[in-house]
Amino acid sequence: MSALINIENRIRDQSGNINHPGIGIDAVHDTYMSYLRGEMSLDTAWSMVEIIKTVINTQALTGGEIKQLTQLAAEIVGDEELAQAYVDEEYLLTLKPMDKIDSERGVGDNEIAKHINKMPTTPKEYYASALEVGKRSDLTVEQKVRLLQAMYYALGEGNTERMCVARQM
Amino acid sequence: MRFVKGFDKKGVPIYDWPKYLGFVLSSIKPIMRGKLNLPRLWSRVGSLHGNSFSDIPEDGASYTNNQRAIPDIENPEAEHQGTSRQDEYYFDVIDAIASRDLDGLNKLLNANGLESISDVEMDLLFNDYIDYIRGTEEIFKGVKERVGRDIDVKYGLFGYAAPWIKDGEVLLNGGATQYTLPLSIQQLIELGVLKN
Repeated sequence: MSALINIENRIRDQSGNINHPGIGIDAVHDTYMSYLRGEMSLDTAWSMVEIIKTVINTQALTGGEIKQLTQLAAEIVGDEELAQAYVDEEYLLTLKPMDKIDSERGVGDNEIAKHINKMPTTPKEYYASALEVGKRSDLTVEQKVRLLQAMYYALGEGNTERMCVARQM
Repeated sequence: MRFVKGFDKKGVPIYDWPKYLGFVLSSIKPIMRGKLNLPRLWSRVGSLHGNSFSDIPEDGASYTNNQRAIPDIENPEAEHQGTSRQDEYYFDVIDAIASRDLDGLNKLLNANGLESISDVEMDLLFNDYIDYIRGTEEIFKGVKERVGRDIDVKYGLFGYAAPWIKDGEVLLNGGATQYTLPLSIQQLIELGVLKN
């Protein structure tokens, strides 16, 4: 919860508007208190993760904050990989180009990014890397597609002319 | 796997494309001289070396990938837009290529301010055209019983993008218009049929 509060405070401070809606922390307070008291069902736990994912999808967060929230989600769900996969998919699909630097850091934190030495920074590098990824025998098709998506998002807006990358597995 | 079923030896993804070139079978109409021409405005997502595109709706907003049933992340930077000749020129060009009439094609090109092509270039166009004809005839073989008619593929096809369905689940809605032509967009640009 402290991570969420800190994020809300930062966004409000940066906006210069004390009445800025932030990330709607009040709405999640009661659910979080239930979690702390151990009153949560599995459904409620997932609804909490859903809220965290919604906050991540606001695209107003830094890579570090996303990592913090992902860890919080993992703590709530009790399964780090499950929470990571749940958060990652939406995060990658909604990433804004302006978050390029953070996205690269975020991707670097991801499980999938360990399969490549360096994220491409140009379409030319992307295509060369993508073909190498496609040929690898140590990755599943799903892993390859996820890696291509991560590489694509690392390029950012203005750097993806004519590029088509599969949206899901 | 939902859209990508594997990767080929070069490392390129192999998509699990729907049948019938992605058309709703019952919606297919042949592009025909005097009956159905190319759209005035076209839009394609991805490389210009493909053969399919959509028109642009009257409100000017291009179809989404979901409507086109293209299984890629939405990327406005991957879209190309352009115009098509609205006269008989396209049909004349295809007729010349289909009959391997180099002189006839060069007369058309020259009359439209374009340079002549060589016999080698003509062979490439002709081979691509024949590959398209054979491929589409194979794809639509046996559909007469289902749609009540043969499908004339000579000048290409118009129809609506079919939904992408996998194991009973609708993954992409489809519904956009779709034109699939005998030659690639790039070739048709070079032949003066399309402008990018």
